[in-house]
Amino acid sequence: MDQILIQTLHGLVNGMVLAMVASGLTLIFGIMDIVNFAHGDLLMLGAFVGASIVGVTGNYWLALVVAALVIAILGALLQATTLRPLIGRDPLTTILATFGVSLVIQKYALWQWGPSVRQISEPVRGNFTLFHLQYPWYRIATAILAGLIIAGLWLFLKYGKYGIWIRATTQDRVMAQAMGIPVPLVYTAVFAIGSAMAAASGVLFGPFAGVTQTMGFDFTLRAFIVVVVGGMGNLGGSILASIFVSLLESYAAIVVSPAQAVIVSFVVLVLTMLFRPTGLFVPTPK
Amino acid sequence: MLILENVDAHYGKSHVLHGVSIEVRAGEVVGLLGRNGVGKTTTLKAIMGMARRTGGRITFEGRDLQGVPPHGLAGLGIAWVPEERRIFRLLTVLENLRTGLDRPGVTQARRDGLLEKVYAYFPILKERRNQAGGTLSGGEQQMLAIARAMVLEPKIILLDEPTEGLMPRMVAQIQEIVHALHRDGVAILLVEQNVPLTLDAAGRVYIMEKGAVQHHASAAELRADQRVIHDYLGV
Amino acid sequence: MAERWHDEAWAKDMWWSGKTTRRKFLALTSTAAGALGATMLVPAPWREVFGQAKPYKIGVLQPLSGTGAAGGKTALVGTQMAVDRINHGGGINGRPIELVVADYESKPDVGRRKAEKLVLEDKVDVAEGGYLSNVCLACMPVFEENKTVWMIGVCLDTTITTTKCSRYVFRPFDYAPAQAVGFSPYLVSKLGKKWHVAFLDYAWGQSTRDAYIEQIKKNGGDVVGTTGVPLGTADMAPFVSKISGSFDGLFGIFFGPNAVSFTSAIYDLGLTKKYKYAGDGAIAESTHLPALGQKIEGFVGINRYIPVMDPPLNTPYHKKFFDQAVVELKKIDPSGPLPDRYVQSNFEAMNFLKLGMQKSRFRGREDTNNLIEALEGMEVKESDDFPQGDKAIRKEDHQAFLREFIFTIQNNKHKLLETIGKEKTLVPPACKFA
Ligand SMILES: Nc1ncnc2c1ncn2[C@@H]1O[C@H](COP(=O)(O)OP(=O)(O)O)[C@@H](O)[C@H]1O
Ligand SMILES: [Mg+2]
Repeated sequence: MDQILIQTLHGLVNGMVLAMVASGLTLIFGIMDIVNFAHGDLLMLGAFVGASIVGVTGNYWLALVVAALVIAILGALLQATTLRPLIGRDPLTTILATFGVSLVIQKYALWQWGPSVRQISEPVRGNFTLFHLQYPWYRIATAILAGLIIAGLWLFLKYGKYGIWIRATTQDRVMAQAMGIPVPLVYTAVFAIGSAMAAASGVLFGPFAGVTQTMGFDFTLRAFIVVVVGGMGNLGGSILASIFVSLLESYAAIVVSPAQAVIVSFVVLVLTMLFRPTGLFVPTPK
Repeated sequence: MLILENVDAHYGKSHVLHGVSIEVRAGEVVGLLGRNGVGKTTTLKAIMGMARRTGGRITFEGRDLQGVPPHGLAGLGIAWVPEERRIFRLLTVLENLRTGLDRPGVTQARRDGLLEKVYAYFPILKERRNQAGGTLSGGEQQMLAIARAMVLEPKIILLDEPTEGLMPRMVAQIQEIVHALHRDGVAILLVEQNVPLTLDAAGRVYIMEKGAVQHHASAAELRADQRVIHDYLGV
Repeated sequence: MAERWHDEAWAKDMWWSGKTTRRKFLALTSTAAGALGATMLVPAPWREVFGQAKPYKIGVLQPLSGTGAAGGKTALVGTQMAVDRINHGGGINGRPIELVVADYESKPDVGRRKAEKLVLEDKVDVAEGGYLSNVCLACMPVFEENKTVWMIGVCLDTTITTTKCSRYVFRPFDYAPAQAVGFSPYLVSKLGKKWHVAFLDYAWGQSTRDAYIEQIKKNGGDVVGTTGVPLGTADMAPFVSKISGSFDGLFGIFFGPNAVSFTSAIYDLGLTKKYKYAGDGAIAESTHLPALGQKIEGFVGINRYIPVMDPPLNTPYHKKFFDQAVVELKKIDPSGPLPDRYVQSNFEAMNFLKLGMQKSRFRGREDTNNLIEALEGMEVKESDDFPQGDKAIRKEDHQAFLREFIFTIQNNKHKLLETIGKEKTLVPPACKFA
């Protein structure tokens, strides 16, 4: 019983962080049909930028905002120089391009920051007693903050002028162009927003386990699973799927051996692709 | 205002338009008739930069449209109501209209005015403003597509078979709108298969066959002599 | 869903700019990947010093991209330091060393391919390197088939010198069973009787876990529970939350970023307040200390190398190695970490090769048998070549035995607690060469 409550909390906390990562990925996929394999690496780069800023200024919140902005600009440049010229070509070329970008970012991080693991110290100290554990308030704060950021994104997409542009472009880019919506710009902006979400997740997650060149890989993989399970390009579905998959992984940690726990999310992925190819939380079209 | 000169267009390797020349003057309603598959839609797509143009020239108010990106046409005053309507299905009716209203340089007052205006033409859209576009009936979707074009305050609307598949009552309403737009001084390039409606609404008519304009006459002439229509359209 | 871009013929003509940008970018990408990933040669100036002498070609396998990149880059520093020293000192048998570095991208299949390329295309005389155990195991048959000596620089999997041992492969540093033999008496007598072992759930973690369970029990202690954590788990909190109950110490078997995740998780959840924290020295490598800060204070570990100048490491040999390594590491890592065991064992692996090649008057691959015989049973003394201390490579399994250091972390620095002589780490050989 204790374990179930503890793991529920872990699942929710990790689910919120994953939801932030996945929302960027799904937004980009939904609008551009691009599976961005560099998404996790943008997260990693954001975490490094954040760690550097915390290192210099000691201000976590500044680091969070600046890392998101810096990576947003980088994402915009990346989209404009690398992906925009590939629009209309074989999707394989964009996959290869984002893969190449991913490698370059990892190489760059290793060259720029070296092999040492970096630290982002948590801005919220203290903990409370949860059965046999001391549960850090920072984890709770992370879940809440991630929730707020996702809610902000949702409100922006729902009510903002540019949010409507993004949704219109996602549904029908040709008609969106005819309505005068500058679609190439919308693409770049969405890539920037997705990148900023990734970077912010990196800074939020940094205190959990340190910042390394390879931290992005796990996130790319899990976010990809979640995006498929939630329905490609479906924001709400991805968020639900993030929490669902993270809870499942946490519960799996109690009952099965760790090696099997990793497989749980893949099993969900495969079952979804077999039986609900449009996503777990979307009605299958009749 | 809008001039097509010897326009050629291709889909992949297939050559669809063979030297189409059409002119629409400011405020004028021009009909474009022709059987299925003769290239009417493609002609509109060529104007919108959505079909690969391989020859000829398209100018709007003297400006060559070659260098204008597709999203720049709305700003020049060209609006498009596609044959398939292409409503943003997951956006509400109001959000669909906002895609055209949220342009730079449109004041709040003007936005409200434009909304009032289209709601006055199409009261049903006001009723359904918070409903997803995909849940509207075919006729309602057609109205939304026209309303969405109207809020762009265009100088010309490219209207592709607006009455296709609609009930007679709806057809009459569309016909009224076309007249109203004409009164407002908006030019219309009206692609239709509905001959009576076209002859009623348009001043001049082009008839296409096999990707080329085969005949060009005033609506009055064609009303007087329906033989041409019969020859080309088989009605 | 709307039409896709590529369905629309016009999409191809719409993006009038950018074709060159894309090509440029792709070119840049491949150049960048190639520059670090492919072959690197020792700069030409050596050729002048050595006149006509033909260099020895030594192949080096390291993960310079992918999950192992950070460790591979650190490990390569040790190899290059040794080679620079050897070339400055007149080479081996009057011939300089030319390194052929292959990046195996942290993947076993790539490792195997790169090993084949080193042996067949680059025609290296001997090889060095390693790092990831699964890659080492994948590459060993290549060296065996092509009768080429491979001096492993880092690869911890026990079976490399036991069930899967090869006559052509040497491990000139310690392995888990030896550390368990050396560390367990201290664990049981000084830290506590009852232990919970948490480990990375794959080959190395499992074999190390078994070695410690056996030795802790042998020394009168007990292991009351174990917890496996999958490799590469970003947040280990769900796994470590299961650790509870009554025991004295938590023993961790982790390395690299996994060690940082694990330590963060148990500290954050208050486990380090309730239990003593000990484990494999890889948990507290110097590249982890800045990231862990307070969280690693009081950790007790065992390692073949720690960057301290306390006796018996206060030798001129160690000081020389240490100072040089600090300079070289600063070049690849602006935070300036202290040297770790990866730098040390690659440095010494290269020196073992040097001694073996000198002793066997090695000319090229045709002398591989002589080189193997020279290395088997080779005993070396603490020196500039072997700053870590005396060591011997056992003939039966090509496994080295060396002294170990039990240390703790105090004020974010290593502090030596006890030195275990190499004779107190002996484990019987368990290898039959094919
Ligand atoms: N996307 C397309 N790809 C290839 N051929 C097309 C495409 N759209 C239309 N066509 C062909 O081009 C010709 C003209 O079509 P269209 O302009 O739609 O005719 P209309 O609107 O007059 O019915 C037809 O033969 C049609 O089959
Ligand atoms: Mg048509």
